[in-house]
Amino acid sequence: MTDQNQTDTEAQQGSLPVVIFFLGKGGVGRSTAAASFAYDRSVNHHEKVLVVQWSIKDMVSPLLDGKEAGHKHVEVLPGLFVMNYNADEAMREYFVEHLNMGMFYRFVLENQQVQKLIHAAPGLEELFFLGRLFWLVELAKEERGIHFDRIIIDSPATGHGTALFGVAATISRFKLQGPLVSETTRVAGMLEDAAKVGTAIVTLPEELPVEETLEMIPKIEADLNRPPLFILLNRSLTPLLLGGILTSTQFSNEFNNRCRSLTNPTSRITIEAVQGDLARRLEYEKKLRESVSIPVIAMPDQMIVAPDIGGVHRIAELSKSFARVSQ
Amino acid sequence: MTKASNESTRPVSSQASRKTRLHIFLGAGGVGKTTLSASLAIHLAFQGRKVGLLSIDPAKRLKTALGAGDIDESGQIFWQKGHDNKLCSKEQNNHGQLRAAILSLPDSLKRWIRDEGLEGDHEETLFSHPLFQTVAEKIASATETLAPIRMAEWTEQFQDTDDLIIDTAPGIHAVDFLIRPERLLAFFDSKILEWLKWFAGGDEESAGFIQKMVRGGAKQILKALGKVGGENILLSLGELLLMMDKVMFRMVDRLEEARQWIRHESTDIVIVCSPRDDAISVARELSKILTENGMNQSRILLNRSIPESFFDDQEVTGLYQTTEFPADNFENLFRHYLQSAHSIRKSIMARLGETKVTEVPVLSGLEEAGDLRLEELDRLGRSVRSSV
Repeated sequence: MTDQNQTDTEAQQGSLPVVIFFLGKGGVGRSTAAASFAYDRSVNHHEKVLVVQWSIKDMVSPLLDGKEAGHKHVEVLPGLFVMNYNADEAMREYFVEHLNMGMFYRFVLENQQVQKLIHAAPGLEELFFLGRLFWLVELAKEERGIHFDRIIIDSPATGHGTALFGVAATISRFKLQGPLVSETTRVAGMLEDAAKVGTAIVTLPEELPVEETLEMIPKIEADLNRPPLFILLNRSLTPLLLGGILTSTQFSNEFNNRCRSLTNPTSRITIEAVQGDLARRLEYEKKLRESVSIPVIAMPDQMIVAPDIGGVHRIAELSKSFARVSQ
Repeated sequence: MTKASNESTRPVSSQASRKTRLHIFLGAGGVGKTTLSASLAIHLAFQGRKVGLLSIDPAKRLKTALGAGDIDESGQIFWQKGHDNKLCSKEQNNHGQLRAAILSLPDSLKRWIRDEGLEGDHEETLFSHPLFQTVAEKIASATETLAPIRMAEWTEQFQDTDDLIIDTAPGIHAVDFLIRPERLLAFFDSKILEWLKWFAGGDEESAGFIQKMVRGGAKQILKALGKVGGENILLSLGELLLMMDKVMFRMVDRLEEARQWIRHESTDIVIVCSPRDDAISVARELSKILTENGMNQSRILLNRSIPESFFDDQEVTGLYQTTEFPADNFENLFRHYLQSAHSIRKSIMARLGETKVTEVPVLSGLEEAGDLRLEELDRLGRSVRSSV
C-alpha cells in the first residue's frame, strides 16, 4: 500500500523456515496473527500448515470458526491444522511411542510423586515441547507419515515464550546423562538451523508493546544468533490511509471547529480522546519503523473497516496483509 | 525486609489475614491493568486506608503509573497522610498509607533465605548452586505462579494492611495464579522431596521398618529416573532441597494461606478489558475459567469505553461519514471510525453478555504514560471502586 510496506516485504525474498515462532506479550493479538499467517500459507500457497499452541485453551481454532483442538492436531480448514501442546501427553508419547519404554512410563513417570517433580523441574516441559517439535519436523514423516510444510508456533505469552530458546543451555548445566541428553542436543541443533527455525514478533502500535518489541529483538538475536524474520503489527492504521505512515493527524479547520463546538462536554472530551488514540497509533508505528531494521508487516485494524465481520472471514481479510511475503 | 520485621513472622491465623481485603487485577496486555490498580490503591489510601500495591507486571509499568522513582520488592511506603494533606479526605482519623512493591521473586527468594539465617558459608554455596540459579530464573519467568507466596508474606510483614491490590501479568496465564497455587504446593508438600533429600544424604539412621520399605520402593523409582536423566541431577536437587528446607517449609505455609485467601468471599477479582477484540476474548476466557473453578466474585471492568450516551448525541452522529479504504486523510478515517465504534460497542456488549460489566470511560489525557498525577489517579480509582 505504502512505499514503506513495499520495501519491507521485498526484504523478505528467499524462502521461509519451516518453523516460525510467533512471539509477543499477551493481548497483542498473537493468535490472530498466527491464524492469519497460517491461513495465507495454506490457502494462497497451498501449503500444509500446522499451528501449535501451548496454552490453557486453544485460542486459534475459534478464530477460524473451528472446534477446539487438543494435543492431537485437528484439521480446522483444508490443509490448516491446529494443536494445543500438553506436556503430559508429550512425555507419554516420547517414552511410550518413541523410546518404547512403556513399562518405565507406567511404573516410574506416572508415579504421582514423580509427576510432581516433573512439573516443577526447570526446563523439562519446555524440552518436551521442543522435542515434540523436533519430532514433527524431522521424524514424523518416516514414523507416522505425517508431514507439514509449515509449522507456526503461537508461543506462550509469559515466561516460556523466549525461555524456550534457552532451554538447551539450562539442561546442559546439569550434567545429565541418558536419552534426555541426546534429546537436548538434537533440539538445540534444530534451533540453530536458520533454514528450519525462525521467529516473528507480534506487536501493537502502542507505547508498551513497541517498547517490549525493541527489548525483545536483541534478546532473540542473543539466543538464536539471528534477528527475527519480521514484525507483525496488529491493529495498524497505515494500510487504511492513502498516505500510509506519512499521513498528517491534523483535522481540517472546519471539522476541527465542529468537534470543538459540540454542546455536550462529555462528547467533546470523548472525541478528543478518540482522536488522540488514533493519532498515537500512527505515532507508535512510526517510532517502531524508525527503530528497527527488520521488515514490519502492517495488519489493518479490521474493526474499523468491517466491525461486524468476524471469525474466519476476518482472518481471510487479514491474511491479505501477507500478500507480498515471498515463497 | 529487615530482621526486625521478620521476627513478627509467625504463621498467621486465617482469621487475621481476612482483615485485609484482596483485590486482584487480571486481563490482556495493554488494557490498563497497572494504571487502574494503581489508581484504586491511591484512592483507597486517600480515603484513609492502609493499602499495599503489589505489581507482578514484568513491564514495570507501576513506576510510570505512580510517577515514582525506583520501587523494589520489599514494600516501602510510597505515600502516607501528612505528606500532602490537601489531597486526601479531611477526616480526623485518616491514617491513609500506600506501600508499593514490584514483584521480583528471585530477590524475594534470596531475602527469605537470608531471613532463615543459613549456617556458615551455606548461603554462598546455595546462591552459586547451578540448580538454584536455574530455579531462580525459572521463578522469574513464572512469577505469577509463585506470587501468592509474596502475597501471603505481605500480611505477615504489614499486619495492619486494609487492602492488598495485586496487578498480575498480562494474559490468560495469570489465572494460574488464582486457580493453581496448589500445583506448586503439591510439589513442595510431596513425598518426593523427602526422597530426594534422603537420596542426597539425609537422616538414614532414624528410619523405622515401614520407612525403610517405602524408601526401598522410592530408591527403585529414583534409580530408574537416574537412568533417563542421570543421577547427578537428582543428587543436586536433593542437595538444594536440603539447604532450602526451612525456606520451603515457610513457602508451603504461605502458599496454603494464599490459596484460602484467594478463594475468600471478600476477595475482589477485577478482570480488565478494553474495547479491543482480543482483550474481550481474554476477559471472557478469564471469567469462564474463574467460574468453572468456583470463583464467582469476579467482575469485568471495560476500560477506555466510549459510553452509550456518546452515540445518542445527535451532534456526534452528525460527524459520522463512511469512506472507502484507503482513506484520503486522517479526518475521513476518524469519521468512519466514529461510526464503526458504535458497532464495535454493540458487538462487545453482546459478547460480554450476562457478565457484570462496569465501564471506565475513555478520558482525554489519561492515556499518556507518565502524565498521570495522583489526583487524577484518585479520580480514576473512585470509578474503579464504585463498582465494587
